[in-house]
Amino acid sequence: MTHASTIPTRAAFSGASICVAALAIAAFGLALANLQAAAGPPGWLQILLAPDLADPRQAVAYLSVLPRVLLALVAGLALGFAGSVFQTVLRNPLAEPGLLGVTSGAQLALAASLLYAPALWINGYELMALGGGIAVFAIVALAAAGRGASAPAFVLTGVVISLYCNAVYGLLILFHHDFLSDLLSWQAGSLQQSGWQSIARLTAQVGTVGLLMLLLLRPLRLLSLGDGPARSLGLSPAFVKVSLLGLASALAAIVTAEIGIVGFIGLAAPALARRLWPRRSHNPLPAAFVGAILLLFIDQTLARLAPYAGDIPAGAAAGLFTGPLLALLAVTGRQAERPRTDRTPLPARRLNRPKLGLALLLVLLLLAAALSVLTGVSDHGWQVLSPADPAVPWHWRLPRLLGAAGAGTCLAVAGLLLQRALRNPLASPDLLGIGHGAGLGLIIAFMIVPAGAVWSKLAVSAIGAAVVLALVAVLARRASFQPERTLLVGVGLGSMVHALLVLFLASGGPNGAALLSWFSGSIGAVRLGDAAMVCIVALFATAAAFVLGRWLAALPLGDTTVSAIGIPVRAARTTLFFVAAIAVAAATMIVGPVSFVGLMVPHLVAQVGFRRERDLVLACALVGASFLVGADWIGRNLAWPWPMAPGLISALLGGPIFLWLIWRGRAL
Amino acid sequence: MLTRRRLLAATPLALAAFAAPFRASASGNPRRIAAIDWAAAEALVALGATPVAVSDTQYFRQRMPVSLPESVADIGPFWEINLERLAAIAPDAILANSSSLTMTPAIGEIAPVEQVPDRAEEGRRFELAVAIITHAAGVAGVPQADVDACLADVEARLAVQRQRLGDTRRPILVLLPDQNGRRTMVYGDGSLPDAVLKKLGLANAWTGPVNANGLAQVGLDALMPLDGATFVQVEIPTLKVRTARSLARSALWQRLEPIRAARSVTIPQFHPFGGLPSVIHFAETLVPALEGLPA
Repeated sequence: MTHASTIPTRAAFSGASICVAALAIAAFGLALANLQAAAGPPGWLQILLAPDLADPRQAVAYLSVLPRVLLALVAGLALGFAGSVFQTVLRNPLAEPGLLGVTSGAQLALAASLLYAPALWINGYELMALGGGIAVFAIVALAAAGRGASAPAFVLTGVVISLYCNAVYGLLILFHHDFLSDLLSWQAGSLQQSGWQSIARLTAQVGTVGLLMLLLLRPLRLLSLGDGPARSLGLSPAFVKVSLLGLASALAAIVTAEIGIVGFIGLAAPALARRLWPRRSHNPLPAAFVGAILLLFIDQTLARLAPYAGDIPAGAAAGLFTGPLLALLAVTGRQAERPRTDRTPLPARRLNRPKLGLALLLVLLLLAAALSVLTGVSDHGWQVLSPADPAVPWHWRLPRLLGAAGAGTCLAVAGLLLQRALRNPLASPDLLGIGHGAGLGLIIAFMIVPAGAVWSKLAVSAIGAAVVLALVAVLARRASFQPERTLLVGVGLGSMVHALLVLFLASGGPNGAALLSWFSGSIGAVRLGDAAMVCIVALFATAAAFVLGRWLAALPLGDTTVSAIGIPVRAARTTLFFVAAIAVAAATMIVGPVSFVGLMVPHLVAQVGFRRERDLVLACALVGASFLVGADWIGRNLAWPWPMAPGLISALLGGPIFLWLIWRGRAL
Repeated sequence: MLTRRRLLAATPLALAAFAAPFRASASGNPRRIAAIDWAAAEALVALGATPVAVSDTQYFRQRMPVSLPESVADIGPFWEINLERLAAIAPDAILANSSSLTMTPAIGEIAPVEQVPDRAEEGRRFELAVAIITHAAGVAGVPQADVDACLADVEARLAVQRQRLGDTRRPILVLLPDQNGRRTMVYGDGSLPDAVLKKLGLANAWTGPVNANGLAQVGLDALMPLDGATFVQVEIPTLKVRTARSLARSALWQRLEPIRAARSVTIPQFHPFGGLPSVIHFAETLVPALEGLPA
């Protein structure tokens, strides 16, 4: 192994411990100060021992401030614990309960029941959220268990179902923005309290699930040795994994149901705990402790700010705190390359004649293109035109066609490059934070542009994307473009921007829906010049990936092997990273962040049976382009004159196709 | 790319530019306006100069205090206008705010885009409503006299409401509690309800910080100091039952002085980002709701 030990030097260890100790003191100090400030003269001790509820100040301290402190501790504990279990079981530092669709399932259940069965809400929406989260986990577990519950199978099905739920949720919201404000405020996850019911319920539920999980700690440690050794010690890995993940998901669903989405605690707490106690990285208790401290600190800081800024929801704002923390963890300290005990095996299916396959995909793309330009709904219903017909609205449809094709190619190829270069099946263009950066540009444009001035969406999102790209590149360079650290940098930056987005949405303004639509990927505004630009970038990226096929094939073998066969690992990874980043930035400006294409098309293509790297590159390009062109066509016509974001449509279409392929394939 | 379509799009434009001065005077033939901004659309409907196209007409009909004829075309949501359809309608001018222009700049290729005023100067929200209708009338070629008449009508109706209020002079808090009974949206300085309260000679109970739209999300504890105020709760039909139930169970809500003194009323929802029609709609919803409260 080229890497040093996992154990940091003694100095770094004590430095980090001091930081956490300081964080803990600060968190509890803030909590006490806030309690004292609310209670007034009688003091905080009086509130704890014998509050006089007739006094309005004491009532606020006892009914709002105190339960809020406890809620932050319990919720943080549960999220840190659940996140750590996920990361250990799935052996992926990006894993957290949200990844398996638990939060998006809860969110979808809430939105759907609110729209179609509001009667269900009368008994508390917590039940709906809990039910949605658990139902989604059950689906993921069923799908993955059929594949021997291997970590990649779990993660990929989880992500697909999560994207699917998010897409349906996005559509519901965009078509019923009447309900927007309430759901958005739930999504932001405020810890505000007005009584003791919530904390009592949460503690009881978390306590029950937590006790069950403590019984599974030993099997969890065995599991961290890998499936093989665990099995030889008499453990059924599939059973233990499903139970552990199920319970951890239940924890996350309980917290989500009670207070809304609290992002990134489940990601950051285990990462921080691993740095502090590297020898106990498989024990979730330190992560739970860090999670509790972290959430308390964040929420009490926000409570401190409330008189000046109103109630800032901690769930969203957590991203602002944990984002830099993740990036910091990634660039400082050394982290060894983790041995991979279950690498994604190649799918069993293999195309005998890949050239024929590619030709068919090309025909598919041309068909989609013809459909997109020549057919469509107008005032007179469906219209099918011939290419020579002067009535074909080339002026409006050609830019969309080219933009969709170019962006689809860019995203799919970039996804393939990133997954190979960063050696993570979850490495999607999203994770680089570029899409989020572009979105941030847009948010800033909405918030601070003086009245009367108009900034083009393209310009502001380009600036945002460029800034984040530069930042990720600088930080990733410091992390030597090491896969896990680069991903953490991307996720960290992404989480910060996401937090800003949710805060902006929850603040209640008329532009919320516009932003939401941009984030779900929309292509309506693209002009011919921009579309031509993205097509050129797409051709360049595909050509580069084609030429670099050998690196692509080699990189997943691990750094040691790759250097042994004479490939400059670092240079290869840097090059691939930059090609991908430029492609993603170009695509994001045109369609916004379309997660599905970049994340799933590479897997989809591999599942279909393309094997050689160069075939894979071309197939990705063609499938990515056809996907977005088709999605744009459907989205334009299905609800005419309303647009449906092609990003959402591609997830709605692609999700089931992908699940079917996983189901059908022998192994994943 | 000079195409047939561009030529077609340009022709009515050129004609419109030519004919604009005549059209403005000939009231029988007003300009054809596509109103993406709802406040502008609402203003035009109130002036009797119904736009040919409005964004998201279905929701507009549900939400806004003016009635929109069935003939008005839907051109999609404000953040992604259906360009093909808008081009086919070929309006003389488009009324939009800056966010629509940011999202779909290409609307400018179809017709000249007139930006609707959307920022209230130093919380002068009523003046913003007036500016919106004046601007929309100017673009649509509606004579200023009609705007003045509309304004006079609004002032007269506000005076009637002021009369009706009698000597009710408690500060008013307009709030939209969330369905958990833990947090609430309050309307402060610079919001539409605040403008109406000022016009009616009432004080707004919320004097705390607000965002650019005059709104603030606060915990219920922030309402504790508001003794003596009257609460006006905005009800969203689908969430009504759930919200009422959570508030009934919320220990903190039950301890608020206005709630204990039963000085709390509910009103149906209104459009907080609208112009004059929304202003008068809110005033005429608010005042009857306040009647019969304990002084």
